[in-house]
Amino acid sequence: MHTKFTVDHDGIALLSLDHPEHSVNILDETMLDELLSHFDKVINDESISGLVIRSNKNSFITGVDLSLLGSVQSRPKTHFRDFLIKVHNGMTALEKSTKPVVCIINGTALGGGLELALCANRLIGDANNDGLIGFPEIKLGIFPGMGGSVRVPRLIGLQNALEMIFKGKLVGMAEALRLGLLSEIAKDPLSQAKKWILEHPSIGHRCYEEKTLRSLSPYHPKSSMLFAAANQLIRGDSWGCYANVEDALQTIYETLQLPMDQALRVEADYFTSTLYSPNAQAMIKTLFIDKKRLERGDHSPLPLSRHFDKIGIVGAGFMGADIAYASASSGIEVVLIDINKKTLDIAKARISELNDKALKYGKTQTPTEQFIKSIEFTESVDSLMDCELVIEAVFEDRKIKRGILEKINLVVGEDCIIASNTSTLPISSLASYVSNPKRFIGIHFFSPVHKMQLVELIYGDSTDNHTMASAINFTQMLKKTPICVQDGRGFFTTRVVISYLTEGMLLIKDGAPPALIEHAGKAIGMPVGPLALADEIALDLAQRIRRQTIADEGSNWKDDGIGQILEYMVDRQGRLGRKAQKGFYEYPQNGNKYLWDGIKNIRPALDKYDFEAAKDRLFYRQLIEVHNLMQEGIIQDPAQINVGAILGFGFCPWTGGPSAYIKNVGKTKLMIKSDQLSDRYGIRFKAK
Amino acid sequence: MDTPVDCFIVDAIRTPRGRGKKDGSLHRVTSLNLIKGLLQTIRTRYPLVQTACDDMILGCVMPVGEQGANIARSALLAAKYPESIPGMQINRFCSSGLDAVAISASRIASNQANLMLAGGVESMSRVPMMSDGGAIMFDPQVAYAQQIVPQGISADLIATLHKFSREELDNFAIRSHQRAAKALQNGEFHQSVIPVKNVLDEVLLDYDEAIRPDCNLNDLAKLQPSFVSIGKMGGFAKSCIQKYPQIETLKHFHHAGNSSAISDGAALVLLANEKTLNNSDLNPKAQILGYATYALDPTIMLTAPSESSKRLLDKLGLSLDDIDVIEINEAFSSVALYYMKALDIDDSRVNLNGGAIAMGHPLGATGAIILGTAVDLLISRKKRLGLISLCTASGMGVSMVIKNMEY
Repeated sequence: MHTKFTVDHDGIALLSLDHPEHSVNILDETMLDELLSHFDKVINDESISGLVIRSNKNSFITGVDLSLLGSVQSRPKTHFRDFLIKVHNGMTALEKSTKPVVCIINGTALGGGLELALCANRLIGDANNDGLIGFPEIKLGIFPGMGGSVRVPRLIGLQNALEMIFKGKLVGMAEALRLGLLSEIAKDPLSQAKKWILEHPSIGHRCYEEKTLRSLSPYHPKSSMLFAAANQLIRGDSWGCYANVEDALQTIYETLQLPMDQALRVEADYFTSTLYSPNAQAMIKTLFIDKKRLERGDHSPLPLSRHFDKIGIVGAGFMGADIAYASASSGIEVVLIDINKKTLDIAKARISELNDKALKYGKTQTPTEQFIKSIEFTESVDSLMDCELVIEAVFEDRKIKRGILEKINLVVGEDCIIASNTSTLPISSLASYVSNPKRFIGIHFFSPVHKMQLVELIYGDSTDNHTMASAINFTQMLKKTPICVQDGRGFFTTRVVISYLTEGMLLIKDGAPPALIEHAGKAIGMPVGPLALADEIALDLAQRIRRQTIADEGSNWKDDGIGQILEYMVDRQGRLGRKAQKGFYEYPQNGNKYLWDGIKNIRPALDKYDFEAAKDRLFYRQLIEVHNLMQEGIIQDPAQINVGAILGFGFCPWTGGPSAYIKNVGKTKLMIKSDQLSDRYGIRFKAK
Repeated sequence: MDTPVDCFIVDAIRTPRGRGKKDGSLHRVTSLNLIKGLLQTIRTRYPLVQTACDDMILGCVMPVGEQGANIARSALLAAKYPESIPGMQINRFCSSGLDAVAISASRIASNQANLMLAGGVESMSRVPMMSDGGAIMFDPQVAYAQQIVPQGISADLIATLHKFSREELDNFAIRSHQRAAKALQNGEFHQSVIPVKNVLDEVLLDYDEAIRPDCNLNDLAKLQPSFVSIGKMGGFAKSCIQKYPQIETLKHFHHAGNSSAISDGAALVLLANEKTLNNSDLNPKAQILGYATYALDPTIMLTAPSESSKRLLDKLGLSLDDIDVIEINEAFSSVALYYMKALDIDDSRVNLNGGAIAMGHPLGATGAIILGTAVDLLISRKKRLGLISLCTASGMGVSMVIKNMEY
């Protein structure tokens, strides 16, 4: 049984949710069936005066069983839709009975869990257990489809509903109370619930008030401008890439003009249509099912659950400090080393600041003063002696890395894993600087570390499976998502990112207006345009990486065509990117960045450049690079490609990842496109 | 040239245009009474309509409230025309008045009618814009998919794309006022503007009251652009950029002074075929040569008039050089400037008696109003051909060519 059902001496039924197989409540078909039959009993049993729904776990319900939603193809669309209607009918029957229903939200309530709760007359938050409340569906390619899109606007108003549904914003209890999702927050929610039920023996549900509905109609003067604006604001964010966003908006538009029963039928139709779309299925698979699988370490070459007590990080720059912070906040003792005392001081200040922020947002309870003690800041490599893992995070320069790796190698124990946080240099080429290349590995973190979930783990030629499995364990301790890739310049993520930036710069050379280039990047679904991203990464770094590549590759080097642009920007104009407040963009002290007028000195923009062509170039350049990486064997597992691309560099999440996209459109189409583009723009578009 | 349409303009009259505000001179006059007054004038001038008029088609853009439920039929009944004359209301936004004339002309030219009344009415002070809702701004299938933005934003988009400066836009507005003021002073509107009176037969308004002869660059420069905040808060500026990705930011240049004035007014045109003219004492002022519609991107919305004009001239075997008088509706300065740029014409033939920026744009009526202005111009300047064109919401453009009967 997934639920318990009792009735007290006042005739108040208590429905407790307790999923037998999970540590949290997940709404699956069994739990839903049980809930509906209990609802039926409450409605029809005259001795029952009201209902309290609550959870026996440490949270309410964390959502609908997504593995159910991710494998719907086996079931005809109409069957799924009818299943939704059955759930709707059960919930609306409870709403229409005038018996009072209270739902106790004891902690996190997400997605379908929260949607279920909304059929209660009153939601009471448990003051003893705050949690996250909201609808994350939009980010998974779907939208609230268990009545949420219909009920939320009716309960908390259009503007708040749009924010919650389209931004996927999760809020704490205090905010949920302010929004009107919760009616109160109580220290003893159960007795409050019973008290309220006894005081309200007969009550209608707020969602059925016709007056509320009338003023919410897109054609009511109160809502019309908001709705007209919502269309464009949401479009502005989505760039029209997401069918689920459009369907969600269409559902809300149509259902705000309908009574509840009709409205829920419309929601069920649109939700089913969205859910069955290839993109939604790909997004659910990548961002939920595969991501969870990678977090569990299912792809590890060895079953291992190693715990790290102490690690070392050499190089206390931005990256080193961030990795130190992430490790220390996962309970690992950290030695942070830098030859420069001043760099260490800055790192200490930065780490303190990060912990202060975490304290402020309730993400940690450890006071900063105490936290900072778990990190040893030192100029001496001797402290690395008893570390189980040492990560070098020094300047991206082969000579410097060599010197540091050789030093580390002398100090650490035989079993210690040595890792490099390089983003481009082949791991095997660095492995030769240590005495046991089997224990050498690439651990590529993304900046800013505390926000970026992905870690790219790179096999050198000699890296053994135990080292890789250990590295996976380490990233798991940091609550990151690891992917494992083979060695090669730029590995997986960096190589694709460079292809995107390079194509952006080549578009300048071909006369595309800079604004159009940037907008083409956004229009294919990238989080930022290629020139903005180049500025973020820093143009001098891009130039240094490029020069290192040319030096390393020797006669194998194929010109990428952007040498002159980087030379002009970096050497002649000193425009290094965002860090210098000037790059392809100008960064005024107060105000938004805007494109630098001098880009025209590289090449004046043409009056017209085909937008679709620019989009194609930026999209397929990345896609073909991924395809080639697969052919080269750098990375082959679709799940790791998709999760890595979306989490690592924000690759067009609407696709569910590059491999999912290739699968959905078919490899033939990719090949045709590759031929067309390489004929037109050059060999870089040639798929292997 | 194709065979001309067998449809002649006997007369084109209108009310003066009142400022479309609560203190405007026509605010207390119902939409029904605006058109009723014109119907009475037509009956006095041409008693034949009582017995021979086949139908009346009126443009009205906000057909709700007092303008709802077919204001054409209501006005005919109120004016005590015979109950046998039916009446119909149509809506293609700002060109409705011209469309009403064109549809009526087609009825006549195809021998389905002999004598028709056509025109339009709009009391924007009494039935405000947006009163009628409509899927285009709200239903995501259109609004989200096509990025539908308010017209002022579209006007700013045209200015941004074609690099019209604020000063150019303002100067165009000033010229509209100067030309309208001069035309008013010279009595150019005398024949066609029928004073609006109250029940005591007192004149409420007998001239276009929004004209400001002293309008100047200094005063206009003080006005803040109108669409900055809605562009940002409503997400409309970003939507424009998604369709026109070559621009980095939308520039906001339009304000109350270089946009058409909100206004109250009505217009009525009497149309007849040759047979009717021959069998009566009706004297035609002009002949309708042709009419064309075309539509472009609904986001930029206001650029289709030039294309509809080009297509019409091609169809008629005419070139722009043949056209003596051009009326382009001044929805916004950038609309007229773009029209002239796209057709490569200067303003010496365009809107010679001013336009909607100076005198107002009562939506459903304007098409018939500027048709009448063109007729009057052809007669007073002794010219041959006139071209009338209007932009409309959601990307449409409508054009008509007329010929002076005397030349």
